Amino acid sequence: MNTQHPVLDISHLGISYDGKPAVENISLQTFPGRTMALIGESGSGKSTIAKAIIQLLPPSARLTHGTITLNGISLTDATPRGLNTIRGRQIGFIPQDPSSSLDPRLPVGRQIEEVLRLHTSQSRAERRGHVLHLLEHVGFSEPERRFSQFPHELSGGMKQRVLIAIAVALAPALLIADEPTSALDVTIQSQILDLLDRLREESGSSVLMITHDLAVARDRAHDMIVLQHGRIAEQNTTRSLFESPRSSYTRKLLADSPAFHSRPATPARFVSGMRPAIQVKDLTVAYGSQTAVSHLSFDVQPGTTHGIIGESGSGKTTLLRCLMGLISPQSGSVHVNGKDIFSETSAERRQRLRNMQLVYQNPWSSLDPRLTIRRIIEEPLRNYFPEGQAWRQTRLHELLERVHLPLHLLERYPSEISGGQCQRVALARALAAQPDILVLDEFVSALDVTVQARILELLSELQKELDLTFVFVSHDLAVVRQIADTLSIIRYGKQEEYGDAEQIFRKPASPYTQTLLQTIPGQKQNGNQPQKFLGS
Amino acid sequence: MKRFAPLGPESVLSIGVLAVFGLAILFPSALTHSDPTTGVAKDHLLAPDWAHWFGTDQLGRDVLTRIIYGARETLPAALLATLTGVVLGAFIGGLAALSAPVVDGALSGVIDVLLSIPELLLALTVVILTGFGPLHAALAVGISQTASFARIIRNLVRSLRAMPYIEAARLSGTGFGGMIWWHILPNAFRPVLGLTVLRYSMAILSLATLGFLGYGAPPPTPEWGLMIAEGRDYLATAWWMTTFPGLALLTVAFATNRLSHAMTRPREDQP
Repeated sequence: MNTQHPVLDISHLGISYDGKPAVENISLQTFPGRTMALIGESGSGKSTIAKAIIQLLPPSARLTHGTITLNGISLTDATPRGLNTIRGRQIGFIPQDPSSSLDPRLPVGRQIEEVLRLHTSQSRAERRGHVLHLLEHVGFSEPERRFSQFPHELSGGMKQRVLIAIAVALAPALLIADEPTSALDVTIQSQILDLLDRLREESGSSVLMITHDLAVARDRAHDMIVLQHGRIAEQNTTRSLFESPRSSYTRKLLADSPAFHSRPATPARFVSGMRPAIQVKDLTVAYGSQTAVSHLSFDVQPGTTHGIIGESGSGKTTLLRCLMGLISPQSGSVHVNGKDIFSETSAERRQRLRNMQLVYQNPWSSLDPRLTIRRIIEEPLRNYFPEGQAWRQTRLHELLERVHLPLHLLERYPSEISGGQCQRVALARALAAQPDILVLDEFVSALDVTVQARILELLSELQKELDLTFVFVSHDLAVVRQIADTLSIIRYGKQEEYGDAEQIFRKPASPYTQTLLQTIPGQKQNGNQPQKFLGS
Repeated sequence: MKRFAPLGPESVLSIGVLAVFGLAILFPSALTHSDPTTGVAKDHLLAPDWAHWFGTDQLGRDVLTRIIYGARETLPAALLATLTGVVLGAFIGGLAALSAPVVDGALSGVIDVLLSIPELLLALTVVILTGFGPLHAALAVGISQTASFARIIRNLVRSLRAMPYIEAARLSGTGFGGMIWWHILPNAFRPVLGLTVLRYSMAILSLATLGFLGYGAPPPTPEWGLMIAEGRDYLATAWWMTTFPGLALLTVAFATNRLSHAMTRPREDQP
């Protein structure tokens, strides 16, 4: 398919951890100027492959068979010293988490300079000039000032730019990007990916992009490899993979990715004249002199889902905590089922907290690691209902059935079950209190896409059967689109938009929403669609 | 259930060593037939041989016998000292962590002041104020350890309180007492237990120091610190009188210390 020599050539690679195979029989080739995406869910072995290429596998890993060559040089046979001259010089690596990948005690300019110091014989002044040029190249407007800034003075997106500058400093033949934008907001994400595309085109490097996000891969990659359980499920060009996926696993991934299909239009569930389950009026919350949420208002009708979308720092967590009555606002009000939650008696508060359950983002940290699943789900049953052990046992089984968890998990500890199962336990605990309202904070953000799809299905099922009202907070528009009836879009604590979800997705009124919708990955038509930039 | 990781060789060895000393506390006469306090005058200052493995002291008492009986003096006293420290420390630290910021600030201030005094100096001050003797020495060591227990437990409880699962429990209707009993205590237990075992080895050394300085049990009690102090006069001619009690002390302290490290080592299966 390509007459050029491959940059990276992996053949029949097999790696095992403590004797257990992690990846098996992986063969792939990347070519200059092309992006290859390695797609897989957690545990699929995609990071193991990346670490094998740079030969930085943990000690427990063993290469069982296969070879990795870069421009004809075998990396598997290279000496440690030989590898040091290859890493940074011929392979650039862009790590996943920008916040923990820079040394907090060195100015960012020095950290870029380090690559030049190690691999070139440039003088100090030449290096400085080179770094300033690189900073400008990756999109910084004031390179002089950025040079001497420390990582904590930069935002996540800026730090990722610095890391990209380090990776491309010597125009390496191969760029490995390990989930380069997973930790970033969607608007920043598209800017970083644009930058990567531009750099690849200019330098002719070959890019190996490791990602769990099919939508990002579709927008940016020429070729794709889908990994499942450490094996290649499908290898194809991006276009044919999306148009005619060959493996059943790819088809499942595509079907479960929220980015590629919006929910079939549901009948309007607004019942006018009904009392809203939650009514937020002109809510303002400030920490000291900093306003986190200002003048927010929305209504949530019973039995519907209100989505709250915001990027990091938008104030969505503050809003949510205020909604639960955990912090008090400066002004404005929150009414739940017609009652003001900031002027309630302690008995009313207890009753409301039973009726309104908060479900958390992180599957593990919201479950007590020292308690069994049984004890965790039983806690609200003991607290809110005076009935005895026999009744609790019946309820417990009902709840597990509701969230589709097998009974044998009851005696396990949270560390012994998967992330998706943890979220089901968290749901069961919330439902145990028999609430009308569930407030879900980034509920599916930490989950793989296939697990995410099952949890979202479960949520719709529960809503229908138990007539629940949801407030669903997320940064992920594609997910919210699947589930929300009404929508608030917030930015810097201000409501950018509020109204019917489909309406907003079809005809966004505010320029910010338009930018947000445009930057959702997965909508470029094979990378040829001209991009418009609106707003910031 | 995987709550406790399988024991490594280091832990097994430590537990074995401690078991031998435990036996010495419970049944000293099973390990030796001599008397720890009355000696045979003609056998004084004998070097180690088959009859007296660790030699004899200036009054003809068998050093090994005295070490065996000495376990009964030092080790339970160190346990009392550490328990005093952990109970007082847990109370003060827990109170600070769970109270209003004003109370927390005041208690933390007191803890800071106490931490700034070297523990041995603090223990000496207490034992001089309250009077000499093994019980007073143990309590003094316990009090000197209270501040560091309190500081660590306060921080531990505060970080636990900030965990989402604690808030989740509160939101599912668990009260203040339930939060402490069901969530904070079980989660704090393991780290505090590890810390207690570590401080136990330090308490042994502190008590021996107090004994050495003469603030603990009076002669002829076979207390290890006191034995070292007595042997000091014969250091040039009878090295065994100081060396063996010292080794006994080191062995227990080291075994406890390693056990504590094994207990607090982070486990891999917990994210």
